[in-house]
Amino acid sequence: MCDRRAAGGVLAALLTATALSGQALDSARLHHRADSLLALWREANTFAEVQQTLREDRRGQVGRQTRATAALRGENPVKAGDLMVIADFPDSIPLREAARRAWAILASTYAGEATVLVSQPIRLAVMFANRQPITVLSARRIRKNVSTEELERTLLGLAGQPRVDRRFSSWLGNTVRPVFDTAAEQSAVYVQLVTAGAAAATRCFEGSVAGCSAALQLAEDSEFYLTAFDALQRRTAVAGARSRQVLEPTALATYSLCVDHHVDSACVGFLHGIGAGQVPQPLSSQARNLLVSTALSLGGVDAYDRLMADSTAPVIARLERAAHAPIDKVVGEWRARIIAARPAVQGIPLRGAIVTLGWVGLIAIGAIRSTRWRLS
Amino acid sequence: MFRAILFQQWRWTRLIVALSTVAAFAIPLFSVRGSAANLEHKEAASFLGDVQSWGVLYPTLAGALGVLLAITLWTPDHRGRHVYALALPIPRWRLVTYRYLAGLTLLAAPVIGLTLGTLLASGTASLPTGLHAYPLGLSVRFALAAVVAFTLFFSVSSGTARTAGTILGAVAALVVFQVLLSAAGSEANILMPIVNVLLTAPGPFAIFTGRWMLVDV
Repeated sequence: MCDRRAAGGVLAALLTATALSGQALDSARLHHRADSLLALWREANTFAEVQQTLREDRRGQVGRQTRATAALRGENPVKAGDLMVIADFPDSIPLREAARRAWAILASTYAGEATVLVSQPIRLAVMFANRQPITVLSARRIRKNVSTEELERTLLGLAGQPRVDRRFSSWLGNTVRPVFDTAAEQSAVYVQLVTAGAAAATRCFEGSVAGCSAALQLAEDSEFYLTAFDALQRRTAVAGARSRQVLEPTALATYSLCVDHHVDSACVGFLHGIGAGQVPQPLSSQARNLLVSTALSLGGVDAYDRLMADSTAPVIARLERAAHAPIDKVVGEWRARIIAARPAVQGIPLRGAIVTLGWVGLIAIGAIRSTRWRLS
Repeated sequence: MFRAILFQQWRWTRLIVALSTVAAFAIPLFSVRGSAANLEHKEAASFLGDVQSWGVLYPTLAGALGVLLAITLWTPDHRGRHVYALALPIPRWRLVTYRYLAGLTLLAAPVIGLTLGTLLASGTASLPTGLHAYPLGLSVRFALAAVVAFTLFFSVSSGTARTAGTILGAVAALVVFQVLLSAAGSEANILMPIVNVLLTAPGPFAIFTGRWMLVDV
């Protein structure tokens, strides 16, 4: 009996040891595989970086060659800073002024990156009646009577925007865009602050920098609706986010608790379930882009390069680094600029009223002074 | 004399004046129906959009009122071949001046109606933070626009049918000429510069352009 027990114990011990040694072998093998995968990933990354560098270098070389040959071929390129525009009839459009303005915006927004953006010259073909066929197919067609502003926008569009890392673009909702018409964009954000309907935006409008930070979602918090909205606004967000008909039973119960029974925890749970991307944002990407623009203008030269230097850093730290200022100062400056850009009230200025009355007087005198009775 | 002319013109235009006064009083009240102090997300923007949509009616009413009033004031003269006016013991300039002043007096009724309507609407509307009502600014603007439209068409109507025809013919000729130019493949645009001069400050019709908002930021 005892022998049997001892044999059983030995057998069990052997089995356990085999299993353990097997497990140890498996983990070692998996570790080895993971290490080799990591090495492969690093190698692939290096190759990708080399490829990217070569591609950029090739593009740069092509750009340099095109730039060098443009003058030799008598294409009369128009240059502003590092921006070169080759148009087939450059004097028929306001190209020099538009190029100058476009480069000023690009350089002030993107600093060193602006040069990379415009490494390739921009080609334009001016369209008018009876012109010879366009030979350069890549050239962008431009109307002969294009205005300076339209041309400037076109040049900015053709230059494009530098890529932005994922973290920053998820917060911003886009790439960093140059602000073309600052006053108009700031006025639009002013209207957003008033009409957003988010408690944080209203606090911001009333003067709270913390409210502005919450409305701009600077904390990069996926549960921004806890600080940006109040309970009523969360309920409205839930009601607007989904239709009752498309919900599954469990989600419908939460939805009903939130919308019908006004239970805020249910609203929070529902918003958490649908994800931050589906929740209406307190302020648009335009507002956040203007904040970036404010930080860049405060930071001066190379601000954009500092903004993009560390793609792993939080947005707040990056904006502070770019602006050379604490975030409260950047946000405060942004708010001051937005409030100062309040759209003009719709009443008429005194000068406008006087001019209108002048027209009225002129026309009325014309009617009264006509002395002849004309019967035909 | 002025009182007699005013009374006569009132008889001719009382329907136009009464209807436009009612409309001018009602439009502001309708435009702020959706107001509330606690407007939610999108509702405040939607409310401003509604106010802006209603705002189109102010310049339309001002223009229509001025045109209709001016034309109606001269219709009996055109119909009677100006015999009545010739029979009056006063020079023409004085008659035209009285007519013009009487017309402006009649315009006052819709302007007062609009002022009362905007004041009442602003007083009763409950607006969220950041939105403001501009009742007096809107009323002054409406008055100026109505006066401009009235004066211009009063001037055209005070002449003969031939004068009015010449003016309308000149406008039509410009439009036809522009269409022919475009059809011939020309990029020249003679119409837009004229329209721009008329509609942008300091043009005579600049008062009609822009946002006519009783409530704005």
